[in-house]
Order: sequence, then C-alpha cells, then structure tokens
Amino acid sequence: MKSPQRILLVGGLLIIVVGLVYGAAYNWLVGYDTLTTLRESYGAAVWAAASGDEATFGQALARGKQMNYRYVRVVDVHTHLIKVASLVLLLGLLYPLIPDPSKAVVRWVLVLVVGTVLFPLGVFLEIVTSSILAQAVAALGALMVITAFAALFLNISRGLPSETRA
Amino acid sequence: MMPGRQGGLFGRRMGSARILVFGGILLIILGMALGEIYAIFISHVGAAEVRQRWVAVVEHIAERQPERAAAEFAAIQQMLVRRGRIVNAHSHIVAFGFLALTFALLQPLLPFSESSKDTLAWSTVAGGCLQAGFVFISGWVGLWANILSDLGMVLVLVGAIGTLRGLVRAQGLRETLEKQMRTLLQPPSSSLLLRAGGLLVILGMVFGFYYAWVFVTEHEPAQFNLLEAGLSSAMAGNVEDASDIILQYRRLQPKIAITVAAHSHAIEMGTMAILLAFIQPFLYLDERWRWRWAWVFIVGSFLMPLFVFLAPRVGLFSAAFADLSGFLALLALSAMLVGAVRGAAVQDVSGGHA
Repeated sequence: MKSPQRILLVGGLLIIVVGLVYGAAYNWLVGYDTLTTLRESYGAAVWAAASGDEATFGQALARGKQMNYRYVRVVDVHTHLIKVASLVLLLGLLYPLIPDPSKAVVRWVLVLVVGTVLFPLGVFLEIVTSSILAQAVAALGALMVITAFAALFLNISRGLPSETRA
Repeated sequence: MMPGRQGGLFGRRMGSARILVFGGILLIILGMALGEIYAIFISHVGAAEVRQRWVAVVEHIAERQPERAAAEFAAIQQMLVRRGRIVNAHSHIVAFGFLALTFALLQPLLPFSESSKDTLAWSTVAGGCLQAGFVFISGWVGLWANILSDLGMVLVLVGAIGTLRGLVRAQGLRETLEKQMRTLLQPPSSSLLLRAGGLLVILGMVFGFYYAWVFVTEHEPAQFNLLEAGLSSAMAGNVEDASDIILQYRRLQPKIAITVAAHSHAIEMGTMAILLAFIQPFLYLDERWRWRWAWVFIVGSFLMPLFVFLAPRVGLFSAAFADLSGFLALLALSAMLVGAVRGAAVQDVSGGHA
C-alpha cells in the first residue's frame, strides 16, 4: 500500500476504535451518572422553585447547566470521532483513484488525519477548561477536516470515469 | 456491463464480505425506518405534550405546589428519556451499518483465514444488532438489556480491532485495491452516487461548522438563560411571563435538535451514497434501473436534511416533506437491497463464475 493510503486506512480505523472505546468507557464509567445528575439537578431546581427556596434553586440550576454543557460535548466527541474517521477510512479506499498523487495531495492526507484528531480533542478540552483555546483547537480541527476532505475528494473525482447516463 | 458479473465482494456464499454487505444494508434500513417512524408518529405528538406539561410546571411553581410541579417535570423527563433512547438506537444502528459496509470493502486487504474473517464479520454485525436493539428496548425490560447492549458494543469492538490488526499487517495490496476500486466504480450509477455523496458530505460539514458557532455563541446560552428566567418568573408569581418564556425555551430546544439533525443527516446520507456507489456492480438490476434508483436516493438525500432544517422555521408542511424525502431514500435503498439479493443468488446458482 502507498504510505498516504496506509495512513488513511489505518489512521481512520484506529480513530474509529478510539471513538468506540471512548463511547463505551464513558457510558460505563460516568455516562449514567451524568444523565442522572442532570435530571436530578433540574428536578431539584423545579422543586426548590415551587418551594420558594431561592438558594437551592440557584445551586441546582447551575449544576444542571454544568451537566448539560458537559453531556452535549461528551456525545459530540464520541460521534465526531467515529463519523469523521469513517470518512477518512473511505477516502483511504478511494485514494488509488487519484491520478498521479502529488506532494500536495500527500499533505492534504496529513491535514485530514491531524484535523480528525484535533477537532474532537478541542471539543473534549471544552469539557475540562472554559478557555477559548479549546474552542480554537476544535474550530481549527474542523476547518482542517473540511478543506482536506474537499481537496482530496476533488482529486478522487478527477480519477472517476465520466458518468454518462445508461 | 452485465449485472452480477463481478466475484470479489460477493465472492463466497455467506463469506465475510457478504455477511457485512447484507448485514450493513439491513442495519441501515432498520435504522432509517426507526427514524421515519419516530419522526412521523412520536416526535411531533411528544413535542406538543412536553409544551403543555412545561406550562403546567410553571403554574404549579407559581401556586407553590412542589409535589405537582415535580410530578409534571418527572413526566417530561420520562418522555425525554424515551426520546433519547429512540434517537440513540436510530443513530447507532445506522452508524453500525456504515461500519459493516466499510469493513466489507476492506476484506480483500485482510491477511486472515476465511474463517477468521467470517468470525470478525459476524461479530461486527451481531454486535451492532445487539447494541442498538437492546438500547431501544432497555426502557421496557430493565437492566439486563443494558448488559446485553454493552455485550453488543464489545462484539463491535472485537470486529473493529480485528480488522485494524489485519490492516496493520496488510502488505503489497495496493494493486489489488486499485483494481478492485476501479471495477467497483465502473457503472455510471457508481460515479453519480460517489460525486453526489461527496458533495453532500462537504455541504453538511460546512453547515455544521457554521452552526457550531451559532450554537456556542447564541443558542446554548439562550437555552440556559430562558430556563432560568422562566422558572424565576414563575417563582415570583408572574405566570403569564413565565409561560411565555418557557414556551420560548421549548421552541428553542427542538430548533437546536433539528438543526443538529440536519447537519448530521446531510453527512450520513452523503456517506451512505458513497458506500452505495461501491455495491452498484453487484445489483442484479438493469443499468437504467440502477441509474434511476441512484437518482431517487440522491434526490431524497439532498432534500431530507434541507426540509429537516426548515421544519422548525416553516412548519409542519416542511416536516412532511422531510418525512417524504427520507421515505424516497429508504425506498431506493430497499430496491438496491433487492438487487443485491438477486445478484448474490445469480452468482450462487452460477457457482461464482457467471
């Protein structure tokens, strides 16, 4: 196999496995707790509001928001790892169709794989830090994935037979 | 090209590639059908009930009746948990179907015995069925379903890690893969599906990038602020204001969910079109029909995410068209499955040399 093709195939499947393990591990270790805490916090906020207990209401609502924020990002990391890596894997299969891959094409392969790691990593960092750096890493990763995927797909399309109607 | 004339992917009767192709397509059809049923019969009805219950929560808070407010809220939570379980099963079944179809294409690269490849293929398909199936029924049958669902996840992991190990060990197969790809993508319908799928994926990605910005800067903070303002207003006894704010909150929540669904559906339908491009030579259908079903799938795939996106902005008219577009894609996929079954049967009858 050509080296860029190996990077796409092995890299893509490796990231899929990481995504599956991450999803399973999160589910087993903290997933149920996060959802339960989320529901209980909002439930406690409703109870406190109906009881006129402003202090408990504020605390419970803040806890619920925090869990909501975390849960959205945890699911985001899991799904994006697997979905983007599936596309990387498919591009690995299609890579031989690129007519005369240039150095630029090889660079796009690296950009795609690095972006596929950076994007969910940035989202994961958003869980542990509220720094804008985490958002910047996620945005940069996503941008790398979009541009590299488009560039590689354009090159693959050039190698396809023309689609004259049957 | 005569249909059903290629050996590779459908090579052996109940071989690994065949298990993965049929298992993958069946999983995708099941997942899409579940999504359609959920969208048509559960989602719209459920949303109206959740709205009514939120208004009741606000009224009970203002009346200082914690038990009744908590009971209404618990009913909302129960509905959202059920919704989450269905959406979870829907997205996992489709994702496992994609994985199975992709693994089918990797089979010629794996340096394993046929029986090892068959075991990995069964592990992937059976694991996908178990994981998603038991997530779906877990709400009705209890904890043991969660355990079986986790077992399914382990089986999928075994299939994925085994395939990864094979890919790492694969050597000198570039020519095999290149030849296989050129053969697989020879029919005009393959090129059509591949190009359309790639375009749809790119559109879905660009839209997702844009919406991530809107979500983080606008929708997510607004969602939290509206909930706090609504409940605070109810606490202060302003039922009318509180109801108004809570209804804004309830309008925003499905808007977020549906916009995210439009993004993910565009990418999923695009990925599916790319995957379907590879199986075109194995469909025992006339080339004109392959071309027509490819178009039906593409039209459904492009329109579905568009109408899903418009649904909370335009109304039920758009939601109905989203369901119709999804049905078109499902119909085309089912037609391709029939073609694949016929192709495999023809190949078996001719002993793989037809």
